[in-house]
Amino acid sequence: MRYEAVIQRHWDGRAAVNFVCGGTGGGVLVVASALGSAAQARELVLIGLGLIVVGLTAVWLKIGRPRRAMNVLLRPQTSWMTREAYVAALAILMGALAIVMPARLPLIASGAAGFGFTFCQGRILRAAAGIPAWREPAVVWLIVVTALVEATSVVCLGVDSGDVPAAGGILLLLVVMRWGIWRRYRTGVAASSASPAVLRDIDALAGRVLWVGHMLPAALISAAFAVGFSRVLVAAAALAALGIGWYMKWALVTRLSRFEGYGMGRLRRGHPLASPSGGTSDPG
Amino acid sequence: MTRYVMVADLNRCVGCQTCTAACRHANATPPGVQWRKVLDIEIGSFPDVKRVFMPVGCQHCAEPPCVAVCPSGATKQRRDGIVSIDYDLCIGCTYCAVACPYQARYKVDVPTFAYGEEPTQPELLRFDRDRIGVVQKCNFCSDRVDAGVKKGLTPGIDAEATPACANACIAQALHFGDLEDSGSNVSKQLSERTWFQMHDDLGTQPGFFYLWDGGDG
Repeated sequence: MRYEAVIQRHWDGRAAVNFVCGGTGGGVLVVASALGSAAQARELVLIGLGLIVVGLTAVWLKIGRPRRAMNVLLRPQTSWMTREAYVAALAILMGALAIVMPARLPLIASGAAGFGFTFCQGRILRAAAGIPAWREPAVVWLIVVTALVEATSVVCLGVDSGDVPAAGGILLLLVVMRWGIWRRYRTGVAASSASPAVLRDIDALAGRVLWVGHMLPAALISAAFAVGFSRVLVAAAALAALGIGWYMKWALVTRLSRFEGYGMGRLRRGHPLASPSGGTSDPG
Repeated sequence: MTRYVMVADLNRCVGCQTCTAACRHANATPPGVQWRKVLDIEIGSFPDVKRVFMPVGCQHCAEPPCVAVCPSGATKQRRDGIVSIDYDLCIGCTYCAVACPYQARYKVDVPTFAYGEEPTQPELLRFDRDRIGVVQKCNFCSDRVDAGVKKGLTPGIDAEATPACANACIAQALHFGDLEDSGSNVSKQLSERTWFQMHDDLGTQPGFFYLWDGGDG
């Protein structure tokens, strides 16, 4: 039994924007680094960096003491937020180099940093022990794969002149992967000590996530290939996959963020520091 | 070694909220901020239900998730187990607040007062601008404990070295003391009674123990 398992109000839409834009931005850097030529990737790198900067600016506007923002760098040994800040700086530096230098190395470094950035975002959520829907381990790969889905969607939307048919195939693969991780995530939360309300929150989104974010893109991409190749259908699939990714992350931060709540624990006997306590039982 | 903990006897607590009031008085917390509060909960299943009053607040965990996530190093754990916040370092990101499974942390972005926009005289005297825009929570009245220890007093026994909430409790339901001292008041209580820790399955090892023998509560 949990009491006062209310939705947290500490992280609002501004924090969500960091996951929405920053996540996509990190993913875009990864995809850009995988492209054949540096010149081709330049446009994507610019978009990726722009999105990361928008996300970080939003989160900077959220903190209570913006002038002390640099203190975020002081605990890399344990804090994923500090690590995210360092990786973001690396991504921006390498991304800027990739834009001005026609070389592969900075591009690959920015891609690695982009991946690290989204991974840090996943770990930030996982380390938030007070929120059962965030601390579920599968959330890390949900965030990472969602970022890759979004980045591939950006390519499919024709922002880059890359190989759209190949990107469509990859998007289909990633969409299927994201659905699998979403299912695993939901199963993990269901098996945890979370209040039943947390599962209800997740299930309230599940329909949109499945149909708009996964079934529709999968059907549209399949149809695009079935008719030879339709760029319009792939673009429509990309829009749906991208939109639901953003919606999912927004909801994860602002709506699925129910606190653990208060509750009683297992009854024990004996001094807590004494070796094996004299048995446990239910308090109710 | 010392580890300060709080023991709350749920069979004794009457839910009077005197601890809450004492805490607010001692720490000058603004409206809506309760470092110590008492929940009024119902346990069991109908018709076999009981009403229980449960004091909550920062649990000063041995493995505090808030310390690990804090990016600025503002949230720290002292050698005596008390988890503290350095208001001069905190950036107010509230990552610690979402990492805390005990909903013990607060952030106030704009000064708030009991009666409208203007502070009362006592509020004005005790207003602390350093607490605006940063996270705040119970610190087991660490200044009071430290000052008392310096004088040779025993926390949990001598009122001058004991947190305000434990001092104020009218039912002797709140006890403060050193868990590492086998002869301390809290060690004796925990050795003789049945107890639980909230969310101990999360591995936080809370420094807040609840005595509970069932019964009428």
